Amino acid sequence: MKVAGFFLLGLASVFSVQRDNFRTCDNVGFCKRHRALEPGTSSYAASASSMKLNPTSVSLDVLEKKSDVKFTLTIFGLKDNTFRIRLEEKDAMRKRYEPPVGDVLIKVPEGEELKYNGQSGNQLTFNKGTSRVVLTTEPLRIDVYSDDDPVISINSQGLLKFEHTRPKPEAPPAENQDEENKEEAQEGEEEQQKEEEVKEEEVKAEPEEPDMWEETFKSHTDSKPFGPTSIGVDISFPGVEHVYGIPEHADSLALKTTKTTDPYRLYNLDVFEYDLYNPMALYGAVPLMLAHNEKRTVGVFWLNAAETWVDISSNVADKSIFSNLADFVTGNNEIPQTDTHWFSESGVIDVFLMLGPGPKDVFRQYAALTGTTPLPPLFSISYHQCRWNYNDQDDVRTVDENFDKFDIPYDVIWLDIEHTDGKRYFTWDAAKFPNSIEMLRNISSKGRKMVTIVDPHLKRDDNYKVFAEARDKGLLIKNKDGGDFDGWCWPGSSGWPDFLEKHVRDWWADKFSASEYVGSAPNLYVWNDMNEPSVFNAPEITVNRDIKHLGGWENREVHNIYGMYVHEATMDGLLKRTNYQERAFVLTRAFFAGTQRTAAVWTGDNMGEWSHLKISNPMIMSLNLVGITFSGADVGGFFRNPDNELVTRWYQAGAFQPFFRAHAHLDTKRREPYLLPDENVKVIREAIRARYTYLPYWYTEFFTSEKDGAAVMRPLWVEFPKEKATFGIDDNYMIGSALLVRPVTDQGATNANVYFPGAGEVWYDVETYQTYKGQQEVNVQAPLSKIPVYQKGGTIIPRKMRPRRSSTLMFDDPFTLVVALDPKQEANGQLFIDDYRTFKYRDGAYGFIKYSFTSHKLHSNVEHQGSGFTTKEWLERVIVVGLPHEPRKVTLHQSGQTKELIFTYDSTTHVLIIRKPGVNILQNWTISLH
Amino acid sequence: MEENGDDLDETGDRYEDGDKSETGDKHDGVDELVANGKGNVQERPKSVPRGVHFSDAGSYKADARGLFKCLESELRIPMNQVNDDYCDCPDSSDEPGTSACPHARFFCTVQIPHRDVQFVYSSHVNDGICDCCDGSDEWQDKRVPSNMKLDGKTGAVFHTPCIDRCGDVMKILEDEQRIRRQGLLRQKRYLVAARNLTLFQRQKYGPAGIFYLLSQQCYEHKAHEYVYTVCPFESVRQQGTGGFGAKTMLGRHGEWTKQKSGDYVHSMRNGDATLCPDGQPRQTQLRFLCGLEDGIIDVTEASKCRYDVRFSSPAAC
Repeated sequence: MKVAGFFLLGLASVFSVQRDNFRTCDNVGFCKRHRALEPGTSSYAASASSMKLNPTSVSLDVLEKKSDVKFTLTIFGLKDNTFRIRLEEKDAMRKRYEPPVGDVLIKVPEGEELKYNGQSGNQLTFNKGTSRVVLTTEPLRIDVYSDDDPVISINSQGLLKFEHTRPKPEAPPAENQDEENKEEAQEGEEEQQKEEEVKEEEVKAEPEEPDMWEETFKSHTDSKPFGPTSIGVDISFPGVEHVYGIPEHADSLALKTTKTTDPYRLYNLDVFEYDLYNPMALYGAVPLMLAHNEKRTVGVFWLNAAETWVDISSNVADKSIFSNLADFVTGNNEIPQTDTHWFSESGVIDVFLMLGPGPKDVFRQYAALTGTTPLPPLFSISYHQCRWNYNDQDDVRTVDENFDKFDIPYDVIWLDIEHTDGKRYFTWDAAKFPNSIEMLRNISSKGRKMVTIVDPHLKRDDNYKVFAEARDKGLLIKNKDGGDFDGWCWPGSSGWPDFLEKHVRDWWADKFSASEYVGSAPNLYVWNDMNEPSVFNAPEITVNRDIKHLGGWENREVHNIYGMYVHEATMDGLLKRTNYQERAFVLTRAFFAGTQRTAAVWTGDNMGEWSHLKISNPMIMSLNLVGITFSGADVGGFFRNPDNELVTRWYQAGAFQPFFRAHAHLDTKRREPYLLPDENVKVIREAIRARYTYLPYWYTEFFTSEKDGAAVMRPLWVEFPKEKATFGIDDNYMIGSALLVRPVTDQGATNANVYFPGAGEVWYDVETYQTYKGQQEVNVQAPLSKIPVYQKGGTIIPRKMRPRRSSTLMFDDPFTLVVALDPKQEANGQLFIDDYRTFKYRDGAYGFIKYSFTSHKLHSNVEHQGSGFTTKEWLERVIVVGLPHEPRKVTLHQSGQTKELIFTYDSTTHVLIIRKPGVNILQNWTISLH
Repeated sequence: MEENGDDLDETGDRYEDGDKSETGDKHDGVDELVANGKGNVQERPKSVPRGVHFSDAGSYKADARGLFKCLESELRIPMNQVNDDYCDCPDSSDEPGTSACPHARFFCTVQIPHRDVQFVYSSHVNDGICDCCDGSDEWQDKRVPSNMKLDGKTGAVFHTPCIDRCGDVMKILEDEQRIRRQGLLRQKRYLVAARNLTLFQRQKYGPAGIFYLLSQQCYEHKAHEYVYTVCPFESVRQQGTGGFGAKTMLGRHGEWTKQKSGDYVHSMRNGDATLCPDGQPRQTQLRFLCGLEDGIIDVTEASKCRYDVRFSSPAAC
């Protein structure tokens, strides 16, 4: 949608991020303190004699020797090749925030037996399956081995630093200080400079630990009543050169070393016109990193909701300890290693180590911790038409009609903030939307939906019921002095419900009922924007760190999780409307680990520029790697006016990304696809239609991903983990295991370099059926009309080739199966079908069909058909690609009967098209080629 | 095994233009039309395949070998594969009556004379929504999923079972034509007013200066929070309702960008640029539509600082 900067900068032609609105590591006390640590001997030591062994865990006392502060270290064995390591302060003065179980972790992770394997010198060994943990007591260090290979080392660099709770040293009386702060905030820079001088004097007392009890950024002072609370440790991946994940950053898929930059920052922020290829924080945060080499993928999940930074550097492994590494890094004297250094402003050290060994194993292991994306309703993975703003009901009607007039499918039309009565969410501008129900009914009659925006800031207006209620019931977040926090956002002065509290989320959810959200209807869904939260007049355009949540936490402790609670409560509200019968849809901008369970994510306010089209691929892939499979970027770019070519290419890319929505800023020219020149309209129509033809495949992929947590939009290395050439590629990707996509993202390009992975694999152009062998890069023709998309030999993809106005109207249209043969003349695929919209599939009301082609026979095997589930969908066509010889005859066998089928065969492309088998899709049958 | 095709009508004539404009061809002439039910609609004869316009029936006849030739390719297919709910021709021509081909057009069985040719895209055939006024595009009579009807009521479109609405359509058409006829009768005043203009001056005001009279007056329109003052060919201005705030110039003078019967667009440029994207001045398109009175129908601002004024006048008839 839009950002704070719009307000702050007015309409000035400032075309990039205002970097000085945001803190760099140099402006962040704890970042400086952790970054200043030099690798060396850790001052932390575990006491072997304190060891307490439990069936699935072990805990020990740890002593920080300089301060004599005691900590408890616990190592948990978890099911499915996973370990958890926690370090917490033993006698803390104040409890530290940890996200409640059920909110990030879906449950207490299931333990698995951890066997103590004895002590050798200062090393204790614990075994679990084929993995083991070696704990060096002094200096404290943890090495994790999988099948005898060292895979993860913790504190091997000695960077562990846990800032224990402590009383505030002599300081001016608190009240005076508060007054001073207020004055400072008002009096501006001169005063600010003075203040900094004062601070420097304080610093002298403890020179190695600056900014511990108060920090100032621009005109804002952070009171830090609890002093320094940060935590951090180094985590190394021996044998690894490539690490991925920790979104959200506008950067390449493979993370870079941060030697010459700031660390990657995770702090949910509303960044106006964000820059590309840098480690600045953006709207959301998932502290999950994947480390990958030819042999193994592992994951590290740093469970912490506070501001977090991650430094990355390339190193060389210590071979004396890791002799086994030489086994697979042959001929190379130096074994590579990636060192990472994680530090957060507060919380405890709580790290999950997922040992794979494959990428899909890590997906499953992470999914077991934080859950998966539930199967989206079909409409939501179709095409969405958005703009800030469609002005009124007539405007909506005109756009809706034009899509039909130009025969372009779309499923959802969106309304941005201007549809409300003065940015009071849950209301309508009565002059512009006098009869929203009629409007909703009209689009519903074509199977379409609407999404309206509902942001978490509530206009401070006594006559605005939602605000007044939140205030009167005490549901709003507080400032540090205990009054309701008052900040500026779209409506002006606003308050923010404290979504961390269950009762507040329940209250919010009820606002979506038909009686509360007047003028809504069952085909209305919701978009949560600005939920970082964005606060225009606060430091870094977000709430002050020292504001108070209702449970007593400071925002600094919970910052990154707030946005997730907003969309979770919203989703709950939408589900409640139908008593949890119908699936719903919520889009969020802010996110955290666990977001995948209740919202789709988009990459925020991008720009209508080629570089932003290009970055959308790695950004969405990074989200997919951390479980947020249902994600996308604004097609066309939010800011600025993209030219026709860019809009067209962006549609082609978006059609093959999981969440497919066009969006545009209020100041841009209209760019609905039908407004473009004929040539572009034609290409965009085909791109959107292509998306619809592949909906059965996308839908089936989302269904399987709900079970296994796998990325839907996958980096090539996920499918070809042993192929090193793929590790750095982020302009080609896979959808599921069958489709390779290489969107054209360069201006004026008529060619594109496509990397076809997989030795011995064969790939087919989905339009021309041209064949490409695996493990090579090919420069292919890619004129404006071409989307380079390839189906892997050995796969079967279900499609629906008949265009309709909306996905809903495809209800009983027939399928086409595209059977792409591998060099062994075999292929496999699957299809999931249900009612496309309710939760009945969870009670088994769905069909799941497996297809296999072998020995010149295509088999349809209904693996699941829920009782009472039937469909009228049928099979109209089978396309067999890569068949070297024309069959004499093609027959269909079903229920003991045989029928001859008509077919055509193209001897130049080696494509067989079997005409109209005509069988119901939910049946067993065999088609034989003779 | 299910057969999803439909029985085939054996013969027909070819519709010569497979690539019609978006709105189809207009039947010329201003013949009198009487809306008396189906009395003077044209109906596809049973001998013409479903979805084929009767004037194109010739193209849907079998060749000597009993084959159908796809209209825009050399491919020939057995005649019984025409309209059998499977797309054989790469140009979509073998399935005029079904949804099987992606780029086909279904010509409604009932055609109303003097109107745009009635067709629907193949994507609209048998989807549960009645698009042809006679409902002929919904010959399979499929029912849409129940959740498409909010509160059980239908919305902008009609769902199956279709009812014959051609009478209503003809009535609307008749109203349009009546207005047009009456409008034409009222044009004399506009032509007379422009009589004393030079040829050069007249050009500024449309064919024979017919819109000149409108330039002699300003028109006001209230929409949401603004009052618009349109002085055709001179200026368009906007002010907050109740005289609130300064007047903003939305465009002045300008030029014709379209000038054909039923589609007159006058573009006015060089408005105020304050608060506009990239500092570009405001622009207004004045679209004249046939109506019995002079006046503004509505004003919209689809993109910021780009205004569209729809203006009703007999001069546009």
